[in-house]
Amino acid sequence: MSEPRFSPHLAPYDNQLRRGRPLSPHLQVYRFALTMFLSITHRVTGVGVVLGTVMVMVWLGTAAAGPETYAAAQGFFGSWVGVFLILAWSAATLYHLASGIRFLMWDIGKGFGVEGARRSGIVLAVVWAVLTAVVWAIGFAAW
Amino acid sequence: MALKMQSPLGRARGRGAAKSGIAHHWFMERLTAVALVPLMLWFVAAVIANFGASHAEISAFFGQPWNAALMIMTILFGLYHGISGLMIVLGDYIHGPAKHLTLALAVPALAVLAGIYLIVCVLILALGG
Ligand code: HEM
Repeated sequence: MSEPRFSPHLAPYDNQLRRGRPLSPHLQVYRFALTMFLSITHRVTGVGVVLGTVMVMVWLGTAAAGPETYAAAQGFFGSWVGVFLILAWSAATLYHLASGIRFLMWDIGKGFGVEGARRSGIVLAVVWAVLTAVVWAIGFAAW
Repeated sequence: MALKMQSPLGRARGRGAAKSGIAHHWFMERLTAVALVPLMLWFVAAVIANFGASHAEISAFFGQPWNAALMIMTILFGLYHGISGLMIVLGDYIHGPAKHLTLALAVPALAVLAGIYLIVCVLILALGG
């Protein structure tokens, strides 16, 4: 365990740090890190995809109801709001999928540690961007 | 002194306040996650491929047995995984009596309702509605 650097901001927690104890995130000494952003985004996209179930219900529900109802729903999905929602849904789903695989890797004990988490985080950001770009490109090409 | 043939972990299991359950939920969340990797890749592709499809086209799509089967699998695994994940998130932010009402009753009830509704829709389309 390396000696923690002294910082005046952390002075009140000096004792805690010296003993190598973990420190909770603290508002006055907050520093943005990619890993924490990716972590909360997994939760936000997970809840987002659950909410997306409502859209799936509208899609399949109107299709099952018959051609007229389905056409009305298609009008909505083809509108700018509808297209935006579908783009957001696909981006969130693909993020949660790629990020979920990263979580599963940790579950089998791979990629622990600050450096491992940072490196897999960069891989995740790239994989998500490529997957989303490919899906959107195919979608717009077929539109 | 009697010889203890049980491991310390074996003796500790099930003795917590919850008695049982959390390891099962943890495992099921991961099991469904693994199944959802191919299923959701298929589903995202299906949504994109059917964007702007006519009613005849969408009926024909789910008229294919494999598409209907994969859709029902996605609904079952997705809702199970999504809802049990949502309950963990809600449990982190809701407290007091409302917590039990939400987690034990409202959310599971809505999930079962949504799941059955979606499967019925797929079957109607698949069987030529
Ligand atoms: C596409 C494949 C998917 C994979 C690989 C995946 C993976 C995971 C994993 C590993 C977790 C646990 C994360 C942790 O340890 O904190 C998780 C949580 C969660 N998942 Fe998924 N998931 C997938 C699809 C879905 C879908 C379709 C939904 C919604 C219907 C969903 C909603 C959630 C929610 C709400 C959580 C809880 C988030 C949290 O506790 O912060 N996931 N997912």
